[in-house]
Amino acid sequence: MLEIKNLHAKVEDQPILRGIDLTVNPGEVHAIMGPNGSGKSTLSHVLAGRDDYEITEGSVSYKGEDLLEMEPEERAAHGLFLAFQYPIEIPGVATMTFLKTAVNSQRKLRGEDELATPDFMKLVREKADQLKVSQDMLRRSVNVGFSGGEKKRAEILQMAVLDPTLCVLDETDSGLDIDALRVVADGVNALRGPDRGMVIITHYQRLLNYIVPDHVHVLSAGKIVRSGGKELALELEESGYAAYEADAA
Amino acid sequence: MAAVQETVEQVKGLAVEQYKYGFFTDIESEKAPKGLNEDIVKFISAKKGEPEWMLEWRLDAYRRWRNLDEPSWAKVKYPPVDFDDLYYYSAPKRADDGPLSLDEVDPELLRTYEKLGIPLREQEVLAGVQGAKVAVDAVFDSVSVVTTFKEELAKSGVIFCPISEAVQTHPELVQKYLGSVVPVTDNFYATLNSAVFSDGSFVYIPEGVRCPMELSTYFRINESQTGQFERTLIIADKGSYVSYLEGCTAPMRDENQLHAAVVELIAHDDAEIKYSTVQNWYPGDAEGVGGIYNFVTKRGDCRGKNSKISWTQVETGSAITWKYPSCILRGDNSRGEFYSIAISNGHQQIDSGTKMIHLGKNTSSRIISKGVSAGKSSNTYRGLVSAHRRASGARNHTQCDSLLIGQTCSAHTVPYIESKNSTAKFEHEATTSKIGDDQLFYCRQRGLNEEEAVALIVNGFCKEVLQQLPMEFAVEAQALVGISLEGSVG
Amino acid sequence: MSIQRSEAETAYLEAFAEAGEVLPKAQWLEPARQAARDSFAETGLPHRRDEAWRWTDLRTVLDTGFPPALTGSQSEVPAGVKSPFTALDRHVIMFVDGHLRAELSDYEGLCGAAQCVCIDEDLDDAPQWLREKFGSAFTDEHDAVSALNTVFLTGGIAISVPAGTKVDKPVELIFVNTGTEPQTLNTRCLLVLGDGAEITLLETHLGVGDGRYVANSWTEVFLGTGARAEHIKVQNETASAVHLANTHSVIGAGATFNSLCLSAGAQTTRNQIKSRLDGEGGHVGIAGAYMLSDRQHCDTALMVDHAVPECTSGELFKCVMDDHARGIFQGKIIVRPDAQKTDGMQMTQGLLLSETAEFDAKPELEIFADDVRCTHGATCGELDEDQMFYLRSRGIPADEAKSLLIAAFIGEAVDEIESEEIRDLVKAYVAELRDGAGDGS
Repeated sequence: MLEIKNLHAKVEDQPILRGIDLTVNPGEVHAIMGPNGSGKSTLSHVLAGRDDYEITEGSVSYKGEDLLEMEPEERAAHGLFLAFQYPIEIPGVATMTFLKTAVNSQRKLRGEDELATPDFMKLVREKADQLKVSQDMLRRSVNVGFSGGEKKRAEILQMAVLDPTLCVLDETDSGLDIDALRVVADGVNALRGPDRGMVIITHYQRLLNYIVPDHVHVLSAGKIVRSGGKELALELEESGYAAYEADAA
Repeated sequence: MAAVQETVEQVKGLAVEQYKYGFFTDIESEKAPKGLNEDIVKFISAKKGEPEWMLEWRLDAYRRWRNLDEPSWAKVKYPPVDFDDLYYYSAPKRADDGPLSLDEVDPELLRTYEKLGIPLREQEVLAGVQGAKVAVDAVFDSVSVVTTFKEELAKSGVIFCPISEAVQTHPELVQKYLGSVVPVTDNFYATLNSAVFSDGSFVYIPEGVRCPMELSTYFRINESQTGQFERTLIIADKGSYVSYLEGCTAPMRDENQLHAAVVELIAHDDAEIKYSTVQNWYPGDAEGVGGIYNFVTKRGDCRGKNSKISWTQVETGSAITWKYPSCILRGDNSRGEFYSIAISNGHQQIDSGTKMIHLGKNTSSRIISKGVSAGKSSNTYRGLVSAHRRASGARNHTQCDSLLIGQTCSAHTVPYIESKNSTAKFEHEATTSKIGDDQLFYCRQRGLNEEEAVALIVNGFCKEVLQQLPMEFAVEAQALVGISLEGSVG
Repeated sequence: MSIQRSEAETAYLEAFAEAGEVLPKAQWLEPARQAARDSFAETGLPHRRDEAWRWTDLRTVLDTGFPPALTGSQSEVPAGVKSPFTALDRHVIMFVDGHLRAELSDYEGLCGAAQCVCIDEDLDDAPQWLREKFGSAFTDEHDAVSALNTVFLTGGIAISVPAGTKVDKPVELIFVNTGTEPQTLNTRCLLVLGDGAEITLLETHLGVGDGRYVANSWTEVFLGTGARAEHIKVQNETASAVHLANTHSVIGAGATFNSLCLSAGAQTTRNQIKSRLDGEGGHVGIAGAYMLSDRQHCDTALMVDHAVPECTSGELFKCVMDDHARGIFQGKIIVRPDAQKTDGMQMTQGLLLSETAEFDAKPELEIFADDVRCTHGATCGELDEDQMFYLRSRGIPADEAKSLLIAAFIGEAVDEIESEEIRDLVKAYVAELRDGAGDGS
């Protein structure tokens, strides 16, 4: 469903991605690991359509369409979801309002009818309970005054409600304690399914104990330098990234 | 409440007369007659043997000055200055022919600077009295008495000399840059300065040169009823760097003395100027009698792209301070900084701040102002941050904090923010608070006395700014913060 | 000393002479009128050399004379001119072109609970409370806006709510200006709350079509011990109008005054908001919102005076400027020497939606007491890129994301209103205004 070919991207003349190749099929969970500065977060932002990056080479096709040609909201409507490493605070916009606007905007873009309010409320409540997101949080402004754990849970809640086909999780484990990590991981695992692909970007192996990947890739200096099964993550935990950082230099 | 009250009472007991630079040097001096007219301007110009163009420039300023009014918008109150009852020129005898070699300088003068802790003998500096080398231009009343390390600086092409000398030796540079940042008619005091300035420092750093040592000027007002009107001009050519320090003291007198300086900085492409001031003019006594009126115009022009000008000031002295070191961010990607500590006590009045004028693209500025008011003083931050139409991507962050000690002082914040460009992003924050009883108690419980505790807390409050000072000044400034509050609260 | 008078100044001065014949008569008011005349004759219209007017030049704005509307008008109110509070159960007092119109008003119920005095009648028999409080909230300085209002006043209402009385439903003052001819409309509202009294006062200023006029309105609110008032002002004058307004409040011990001023209309707006905390334990909250486009110009000069200890104040202004619009906020918090334990907070935020829009702010603190906590903040910029991207990454199209963020931005000020019902009506009105503007950006 996602095919990245020889992707190069730069920011302010600084090349960050230097030829990424990656294919994600429905039902697969891919983990992308790598040292700081290897381009992990850039990859997630490029996929979601942040315009601070200039794509200099390569292509990304998603369900047979050119992803790079789409506006961020079109990508979302086509089922791409990015769980942000640092979810953005939006004062004055209640989380519930935000979710409802997002759900209906996507439906509108896909030519579907808007969801009736009672159905929407029921859907959100159900997912919120599973993720231990309180009603109070839903009333509060988007991510404003949320703790680190609350922000990440709210991201996963959005993911569950928006029902994407490709989930990109950018360092979702950062800043979480072990209990919060388990709640988030359970939420993600509940969304695993034969039609849905996932890309999990992480620095640490820890998260992968809870969300077991099918494939693990090591990103270094803007390139995937090694790919393997889930055992590769454990190996990295042992040996660290030193070898790959040396490569980069 | 109680703890602060006690501190205030206790500190009140200490006399303001602790001002340790308050001595007077008994040295014979030559003065121009009192008052100001065209003849005085001609007298000053003639004393310096100035070329015709310089005299004309002064006379033009003088004629314009006569039609100007003293500004009244600042939050300071003082009786009208009688500009006819001042000496506009005073020089130690024998020194009026310009700076001498150190051997020719009156030993009394050398002792004065020794007492002030300013090393004028290069060998003393070399002998390791101080960690790093600092070149000094010492200005005594109206004239520069000595400039150190000139030869060594000349080796790297750096020009560091009294401005009166520069008028003679580098007229092309002076003519090109003098008044190009602070125009003759900029304001009442700047215009007055343009007419009667007698000395000050001139610095030129050639292209690509990193000035090998800190440069500094030490200003001393000695003579009574004398105004000091120094003029400083610093030019950093492409890709150069200079750090410049300025210090000031004066004897204790029960009259008010006028100090109206003008400082102009010009930074070309990729150049950086760091200008630090520790201003400790005599602040007046506990009843508010005497002290310096410090009416100063300081402005830097980031003329070239990627240039940077940084002002750091520690203002503890003067009866009245009226001073707004500013940056004109003309070059694209240029940066301006203003770090200020202003401590007022006794009857001192401070109205100080900065202007950051964003003209070029992607210019940025940062302002950190820490005001501490104590005694019966008044302390005002006044600032302007503006973005013009073309200044896309301009950024400013301003942090303005005031600390009040005691119930008879006041603190004011008057920022102006003007944005004519939607991509400019300005953020301004200001807080006013007092030293918390719990903080004081905590320190005392750990064994500090109240004064030490206050000094400690105030130093903490000012830390972000103190860190900006060059090492040579930081220690002195930190001590000064403590002394100011020790001796002067109440 | 010779004074160069502008055309408008001369016209106003000439009009002073005739005005006495037709205005509400009251001997007790004469000294104040005379003082206002003298002060205007001396200083004239303000211009940029006055620090308080550095961003608004009233001499240029009032370049031609707008004669005072001395005689009543019987203009109809077009059906399209509708208050945002129509759906609310409330008392209505309607003014058209500066004169009270009884047949369009409905406030009999209010007169049972409170004393109401119509200001365009003969005021010689005015009750004592009215004489005492009228124009007395801030007397320290005369400015041209207040002076013109005092001299040319043609209509208004004075309401006194007795101690302990809670007015049953909100009271709305609607000022409709038809602008059929260029004139100055001078109105006044005086609200005096006894100890423990409570009221919600809505003030709606609406213009008709593209009429050109100057509306000069002055609202004074006095709150007794423990009184509570909520004041919501919505200003939507015509695109050619000038709106000049004084809003003064004096807050007694333990009293609470909470207000919102939404400025959406008028070519030029000048809001002069002053509040004095006069008794311990008082609280004032002042919120403001600007929705400006085209070449609109809106300047608020706000002053909160902490005269006594242990009071709290909070100001929040959210200003949105599109096209060539210019928003200005000048806010000053004064803490007097005795006002220990003051807690004052002020925040101003400007949002520029177009390259040619402009925002100026001068948030001032003037502190004479040490045991206080005062903060102010000011920010200015365009829509946050990260927020825009976040919304879009969730599938919300750019236009909608922008609207959502603008509504949220303004909404923070509107949220300062305590009554949920009124809050929702104001938010709906804000949305309506934005839709009506056709999102020209």
